[in-house]
Amino acid sequence: MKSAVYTVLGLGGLAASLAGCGGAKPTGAAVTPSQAVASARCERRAPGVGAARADERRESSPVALARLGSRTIAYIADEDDGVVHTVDVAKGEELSVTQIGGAPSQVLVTKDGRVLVSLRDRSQVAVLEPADSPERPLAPLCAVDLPAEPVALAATPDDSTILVTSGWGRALSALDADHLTTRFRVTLAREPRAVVVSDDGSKAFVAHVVGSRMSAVDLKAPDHPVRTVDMTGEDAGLSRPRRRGVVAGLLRGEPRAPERMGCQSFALAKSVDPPGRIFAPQVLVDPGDTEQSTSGYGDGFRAAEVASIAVIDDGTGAPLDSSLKIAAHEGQVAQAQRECLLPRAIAVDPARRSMLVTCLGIDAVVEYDAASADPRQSERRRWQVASGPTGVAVDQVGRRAIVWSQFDQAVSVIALDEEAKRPTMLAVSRKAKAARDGDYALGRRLFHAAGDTRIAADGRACASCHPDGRDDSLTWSTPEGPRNTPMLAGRLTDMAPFGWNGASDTVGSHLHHTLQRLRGRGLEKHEIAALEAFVGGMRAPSTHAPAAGPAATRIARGKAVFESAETACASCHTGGAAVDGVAHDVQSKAKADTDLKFDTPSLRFVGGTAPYFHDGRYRTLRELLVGSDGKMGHVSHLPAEDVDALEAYLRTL
Amino acid sequence: MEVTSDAGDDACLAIAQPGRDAFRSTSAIFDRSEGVVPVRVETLRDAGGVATLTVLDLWVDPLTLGVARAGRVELPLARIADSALGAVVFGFRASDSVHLVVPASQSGQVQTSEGQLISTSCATLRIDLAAARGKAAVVTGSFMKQTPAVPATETEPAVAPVAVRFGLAATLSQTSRDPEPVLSVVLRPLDELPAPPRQSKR
Repeated sequence: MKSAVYTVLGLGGLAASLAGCGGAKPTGAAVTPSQAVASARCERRAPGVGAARADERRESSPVALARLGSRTIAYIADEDDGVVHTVDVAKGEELSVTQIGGAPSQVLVTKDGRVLVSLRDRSQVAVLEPADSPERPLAPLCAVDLPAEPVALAATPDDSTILVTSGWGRALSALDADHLTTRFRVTLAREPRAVVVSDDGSKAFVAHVVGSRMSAVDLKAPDHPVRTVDMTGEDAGLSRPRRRGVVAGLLRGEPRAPERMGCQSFALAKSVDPPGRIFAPQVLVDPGDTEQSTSGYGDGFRAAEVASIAVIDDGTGAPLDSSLKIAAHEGQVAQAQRECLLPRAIAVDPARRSMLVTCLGIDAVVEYDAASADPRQSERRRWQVASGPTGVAVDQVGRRAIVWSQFDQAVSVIALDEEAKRPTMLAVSRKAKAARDGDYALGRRLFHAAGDTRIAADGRACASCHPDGRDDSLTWSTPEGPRNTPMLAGRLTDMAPFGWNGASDTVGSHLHHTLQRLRGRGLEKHEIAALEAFVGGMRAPSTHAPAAGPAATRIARGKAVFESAETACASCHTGGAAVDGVAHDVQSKAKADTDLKFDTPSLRFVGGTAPYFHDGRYRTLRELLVGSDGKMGHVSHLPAEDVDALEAYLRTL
Repeated sequence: MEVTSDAGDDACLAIAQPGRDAFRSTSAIFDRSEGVVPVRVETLRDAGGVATLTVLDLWVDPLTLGVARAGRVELPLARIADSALGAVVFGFRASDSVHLVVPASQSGQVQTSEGQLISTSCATLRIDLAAARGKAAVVTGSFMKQTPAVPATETEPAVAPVAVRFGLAATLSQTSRDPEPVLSVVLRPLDELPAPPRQSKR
């Protein structure tokens, strides 16, 4: 086995981060020709050499397959070690390791055999090509700068365009497949992840981890409009009275709310047989009636979270209602230990007309019938795999599923045509870890431990409400009143006290309190410490404020406004993202709240954590600034351009 | 008056009357004041890999005990899904709807996504699915079925039948690109199988 080290080189200035772009409403925005920088450096230098794309799959995953003669090669993105492993699937043997110089998230093999790797931490996509032998590492060609956190990639059916989603940057970028220059870019809603293209190439479907939505982007229209696909079923009439209770529910004209909210939509796949269906594993969440005080997170009438696989008609862009509907008798706690509450990857197996979904927490791969109108009801088989399954690909020639488990850094190979056979485990080379990483690793497992009754009686994991260490954008009913889930990653250092009322002096004591709310049996002291180590070390989004130009000027103006005595923002939010550690009454008490005062929250990453306030009353940053005027700071006297500047500054924190 | 079929253990009486929940059983009791009632007798035959459903429609008068035959049809069934433990789902298609016939040796109950219960206490469970374009019909539930008896061999003792609970999920859907409705039937045992009871060799 051989390895190579290189550092990716950006095409500087190709794309500015969209993290700071305002407005929650998705809109189309074509990149002007001057922004599209042509480059020949990303093209193949040795065309036709090395492994080629294995099949017709055109969506990225942490595992991507290629063929070299009769050999099936798997490229595996290893985020922990910053490498791509090249594995011979049939032999179960690691052939080479390519060190990327960033944290590779997903891999896509293009039609001409190039290997595209998304690097979330560097906001780049690295472009590599195979050598004549897979025993040699991949050779770097170029790297493309993209909006913050590029995650998933997909090729259009004609292989002319590569689409890339940016999680924190809230964008879909369309790149010319040959040169990787930007053709257009659209702004999306929060936390986009997987992307697939309809068979006719007219639409791109983008999954969102939060917000109960999918985006359908028109790839043909000049302005590339974005349509929101409702993933709650509310559009199809799956709703309930907003206020719970017999009398309220019976009242005519009572405002209605979705039955459940969609969350955890990380992955997408397209069906082959029958064609024209998009599969979106997700979780349907009932956060409870926020107008009532409850004994935990959610009101306990039904299971707070139920696994689901939405089926979307790629012709109409509408989901089949049946795949979003949860009957009253379903979602029982007794099943929680088997529920796929943290789905992370999906692959279709056309030969068995099935789909395989990897589930974090329960460390399982579940096979569902791909012809089902409600796949979660149509489970066929499941396998236990190594810890932390984040990627899966199907080797149609060898009839195997190759599963990558990031937590164990191990590959599980499933023989698809053999019943009841356990997966074969394959270890890959790993970098030596420092002793402190042991706590982090244990903490990561515990953070994602779905079905562990020590953490939550109903099977929820920490990652259920904090996907990727962030927030679910939901407001939950709790004993103290409504509580909007806060983002954790990168927001805990020097931010004591913790909790909306500042009731906990340390992260550990807040964790202990949270497990009680979840009716978990509790963790050992060293496990709480490990969880602390993990949440304290989670990777924060990469944000970049422009250093010069009109945007930089506007942000500087916003900073001055923020720090001015007139607005008084900095009197509590000291130094921008820092806090005063004091609880204040900002006249925000909601009906079910038991306290008037709320701890000053961190503004770190505030631009990407809508909705706002403890009860999620403000949907956008602008609504927050305008709506809270006079209650915490003053903005009504400001000219519109100063409010714009203030908002722009806040988005850089 | 109790009505019982003499068509054997594989026959089910299917009763559907206004004002009464539809049910399937080996027998049915009618009040004499109910007047003439329709009774359907369905008999599943599965011989030599060829399955058929015989449907016999009758009018029964509880007052006079008179029985009038209204029609009889024999439907060939397709084998749609099966399980390694002996459970099977048969079916036939009529226009855009699909009709499933599930041999269930003790009892079974499924529920539609609209909450309608379909149960049986006879030899078969019957499920009818119909879906318009862009819509889907979903039925989920479970039923009991005995595993087949395994006779003794020279080296192994006989294995007695065991009642196993099977889960059933059936959907019929049609998206904008499906030329015809798409059927999905998944059948799998829900119970961990107990160790088979051993019988001494005779």
